[in-house]
Amino acid sequence: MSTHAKKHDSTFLREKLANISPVTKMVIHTKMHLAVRIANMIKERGWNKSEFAEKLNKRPSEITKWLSGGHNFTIDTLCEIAVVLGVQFHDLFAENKIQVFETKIVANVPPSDFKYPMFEKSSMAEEPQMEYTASILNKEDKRIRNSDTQGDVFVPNGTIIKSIEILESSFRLPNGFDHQASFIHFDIKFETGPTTIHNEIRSVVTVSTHVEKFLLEVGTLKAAFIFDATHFENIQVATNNEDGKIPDELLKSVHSLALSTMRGMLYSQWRGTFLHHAILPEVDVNALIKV
Amino acid sequence: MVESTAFSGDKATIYSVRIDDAKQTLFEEFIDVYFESHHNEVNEIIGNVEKIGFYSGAQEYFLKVNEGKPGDGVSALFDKTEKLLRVYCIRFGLAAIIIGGGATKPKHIRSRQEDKSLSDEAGKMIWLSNEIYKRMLAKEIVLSDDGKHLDGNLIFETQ
Repeated sequence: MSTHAKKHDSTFLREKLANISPVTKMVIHTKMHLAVRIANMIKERGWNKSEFAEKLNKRPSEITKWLSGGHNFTIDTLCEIAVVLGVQFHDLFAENKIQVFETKIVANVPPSDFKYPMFEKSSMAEEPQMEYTASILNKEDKRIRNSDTQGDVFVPNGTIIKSIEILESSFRLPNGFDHQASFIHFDIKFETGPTTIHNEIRSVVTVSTHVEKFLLEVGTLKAAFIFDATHFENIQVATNNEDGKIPDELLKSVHSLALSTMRGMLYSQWRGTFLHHAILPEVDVNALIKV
Repeated sequence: MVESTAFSGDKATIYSVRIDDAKQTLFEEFIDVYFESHHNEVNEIIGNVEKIGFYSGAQEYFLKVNEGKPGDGVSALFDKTEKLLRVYCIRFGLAAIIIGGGATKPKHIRSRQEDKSLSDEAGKMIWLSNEIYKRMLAKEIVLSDDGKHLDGNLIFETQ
């Protein structure tokens, strides 16, 4: 029985690819990029295809054609699309500026705790106590508008989570798990960048874990956070920001808030499983390594 | 099933189908047959498939779904009214797709069933899709955690 598909390296295909003219390649890329960019912008605004079509006074089938990846847009159509999406014409052609950060941390979980909880009060992990205040921050609440630090932990202020979408959530008990492993490793990855909506930031956070002695991942949680940064000091994250770079302090705020929320989500997802006690430790967001 | 290394990239793994000892996959056979007669369109298809692997992933909106029977999992790739060619595929989320063969779609036909070449190519993919579905139910084929690979028994025997 095969496990992976056999690799098929075709000289025939590579020759055909190499012979496509630079102009055709650029046309293909641009058409496909426009389809992906417009589809993402529609999604970011929470619209479906029919709603977008309605705003443009078009049939949904017309939008389907536009998003097929090979549509030859006219300038007139692109202008109509940009106006409805509330962006500049050139924003339709911009590439997403995603910054990727990673960190790895190891948490000590006592062997005696690394088993299925019995749902008795004494065996239950305590709910993680972290700074959740910012996640319910009222835009008008001036008390916690200014960024501050408490010890080594950055306290996120001035950013608000607008939405969270769980993209992946899984765990699996590895074969041969002996309940003696005492360390759990967390790999954390952030993919963060501005969306095309003014002062809005999207951060996809992936927390994957493996238990010492087992190379395989035992649990993964991946979620997309949308943040409103309107009240982050006076920093504006403009969609036409030339380099698309998010200010460092704002990045820290976003990552810190996402992490504390993920901690609660992980607890909720893994509660009652063999990962019940695997609570995400505090992470110094200053130590994140840019990839 | 084989993994096409020329097209597989960071965003998606591109698979195709090689029957018995054939040197070419169904997708390569399609390119070979129509390259001269539909040069521009074939180039566009090749370029688009490469972009799926390296740039965009297999976005659902690139596909025209239900090209077989509803629910058989077979779609047409980059199929538009004004195009003369149609390629069949089976998509497994954003990061894995099997590209099969295809054929011309004469203007006078309303569905693939009216054209033998199209019907044959779609039929192969519908058969494959059903077999994969059965093996996935039996856990003989699984999608890897990152969604990019189909793992398991990927060799199929036709009757």
